Amino acid sequence: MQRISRRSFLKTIGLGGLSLALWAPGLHAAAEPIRIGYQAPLSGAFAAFGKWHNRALQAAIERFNQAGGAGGRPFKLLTENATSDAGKAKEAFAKLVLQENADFVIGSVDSSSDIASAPLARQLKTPYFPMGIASQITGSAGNRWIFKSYHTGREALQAAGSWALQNLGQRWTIIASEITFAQSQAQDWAAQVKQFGGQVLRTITVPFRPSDFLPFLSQIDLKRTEALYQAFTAVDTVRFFGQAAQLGLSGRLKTLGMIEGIDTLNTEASGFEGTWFVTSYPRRASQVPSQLQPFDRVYRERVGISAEGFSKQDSQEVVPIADLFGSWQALSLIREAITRSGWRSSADHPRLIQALEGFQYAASADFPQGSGFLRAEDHQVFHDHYLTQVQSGKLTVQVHLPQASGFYPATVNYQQQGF
Amino acid sequence: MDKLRQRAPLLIALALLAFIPQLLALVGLPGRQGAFWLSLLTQMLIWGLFALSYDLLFGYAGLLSLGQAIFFGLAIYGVTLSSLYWGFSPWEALGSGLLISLVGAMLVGIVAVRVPGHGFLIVTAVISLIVYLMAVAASGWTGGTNGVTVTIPSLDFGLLRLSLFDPRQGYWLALGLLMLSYAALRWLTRTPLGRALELIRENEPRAEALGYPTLRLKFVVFVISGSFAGVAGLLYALINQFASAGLLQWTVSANALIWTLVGGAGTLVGPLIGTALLKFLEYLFGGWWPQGYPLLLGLVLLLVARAAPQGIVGMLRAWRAQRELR
Repeated sequence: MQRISRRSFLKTIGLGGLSLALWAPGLHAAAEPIRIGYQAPLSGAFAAFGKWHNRALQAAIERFNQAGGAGGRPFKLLTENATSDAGKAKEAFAKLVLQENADFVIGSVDSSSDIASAPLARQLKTPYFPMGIASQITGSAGNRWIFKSYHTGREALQAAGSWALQNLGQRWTIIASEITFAQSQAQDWAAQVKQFGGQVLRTITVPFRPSDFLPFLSQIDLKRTEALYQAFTAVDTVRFFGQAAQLGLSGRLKTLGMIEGIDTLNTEASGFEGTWFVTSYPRRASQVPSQLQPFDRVYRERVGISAEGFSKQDSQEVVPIADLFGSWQALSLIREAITRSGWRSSADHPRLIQALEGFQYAASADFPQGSGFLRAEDHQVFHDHYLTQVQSGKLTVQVHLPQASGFYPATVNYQQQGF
Repeated sequence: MDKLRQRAPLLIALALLAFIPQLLALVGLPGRQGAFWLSLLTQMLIWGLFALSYDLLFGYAGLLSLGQAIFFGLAIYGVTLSSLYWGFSPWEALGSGLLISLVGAMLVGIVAVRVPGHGFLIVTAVISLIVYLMAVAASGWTGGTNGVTVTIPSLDFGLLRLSLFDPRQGYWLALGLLMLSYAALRWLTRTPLGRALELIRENEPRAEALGYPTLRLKFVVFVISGSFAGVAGLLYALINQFASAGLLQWTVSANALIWTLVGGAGTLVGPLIGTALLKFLEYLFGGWWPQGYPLLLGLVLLLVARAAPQGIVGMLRAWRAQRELR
């Protein structure tokens, strides 16, 4: 047996130590998680959405981590309660980025929180994926650091406009809550009616949570109105439809609205029967196009959503499934962009942003809603839509609106902005 | 010497504030962590300046208003919209923001100061509500409750260019503006105008009987106070680069009232302490128990009403006076 001299022993140990020291940072970097911050509205008006988005993000992260994460690194979710208030949401954004070192931030469903945080995304140079649907998020209020992973009000109503004008009526009355979510829809829908040759007879503005809807419902010109566009949020939507049914309006007028107003509501309540909603995702699994059903199964299973769109843990709780895929999809976009751009740290953000601009994706379990693309100029994603009608208390898909029906000209070009 | 001793706590606090960026670096907080605390402090300074403007109106002139947010919000919108829609330079936008809040304060002041007693509170609250609803109604332009954003990357002072994207430079700007405003208001409260305001607060009929033009004086202080709220608004617009109809609501004014009451009305330094304390508690509770903060706030207000009606600064001054008597 060859004797090991003291010199060769020390040399071996020294070289071994040196190589370990050189290798260790690489090992450390490989294990370092990619931090996804979630600016979560866990209390206040949007709490029902915040809870489910958080669950969807957690589910998506678990799924990705089981498959090896991205670039060999796992994802880690950091959730900060942003409440449903813009000021608090900004604080939460700063805390996520500056204190908890989030690499990417998924935004609140509250558009005002998203818009208030938009300048911070640019200042702190952090890619931001807001979940609110205000059209200005990918317009005047946005910037190059912001990406919308599912529709805005403008895109959804653009998708529905042509069909609704041809089939529901030409003469419209718009009735909308005073809150901005509803007022921006009222403006967007009025533009659609005009674009497709219809007429808006009247726009009725209703205070937030009014004591009675009757004074506002009585302003509808029943002789001339063919269809009604309604824009309210959860509690107001239920009360609006309830009172409209009592007055017998539900049977006389065709009514259209966006799914976001009822995404957490059971449509078996009084007054919903026969009403129409534009949505980006069918609530019931049986309504999902057959080619997407394998992906839909993964999405529902992972997040904990039943085939009828209820929580698997509580069969009475309606899951805002049409909203959630925005978060699920945002994470998929981040993972794709990390892989394509070779992203390693925040220094690579510009490369990652460029990889996302104009990015096209095909339907998969990562993108269960279907194929789509992120427009390079305004960072708006375009995807398919559906027109659903409440039949026997259930949301039933009547029309499949292809991606192209939602196109509208970009109002900004973020690519002209630097980083 | 006595004066210096009296002012020592304030001078120490100012020195601490001035060296906070260095202190954060010294205690070894990494860059991003330090930036977070600086951002939080900057927000405290902005709201502290707003509370300071409120103290002039309420603490010195005794005018309990729920309309202060109008001038704060108007200045924010002045900067944001003029920059966004008319392409104003940062200084032009700041000028228009200040001008709009000044004109707004004059218009509201003409109506409000004529209404005596509790009517003043109601009138200012109602005007605030009207202005808020007008901003919501014009949401295509103002962004309504969703708000609008603007990009003002830097502010050029000739030899010095402040980057508004840098938390440290934003902090210096906020601290500088707060110190200047504090000095100006402190000077103002020691002039004959300041003394007359205190007389009006304590006994308006007597002030009138002594020949003071009370209505005119109340109007003047309303406009000055509104303009300082406007200065706070300019700072908010520069740092946050965002405007929303929500900032015009009477609840924003009510916050300033609470901060002033807790810190100590009529002391100038009190509202700054009240703002810092309550904003910090709000931050502590906000993340894990949002409902906890309003509950705690209620308790703090009860405690202040029972144990320290003059607020924290008032209590400290009373304690010091007692100690000196012994």
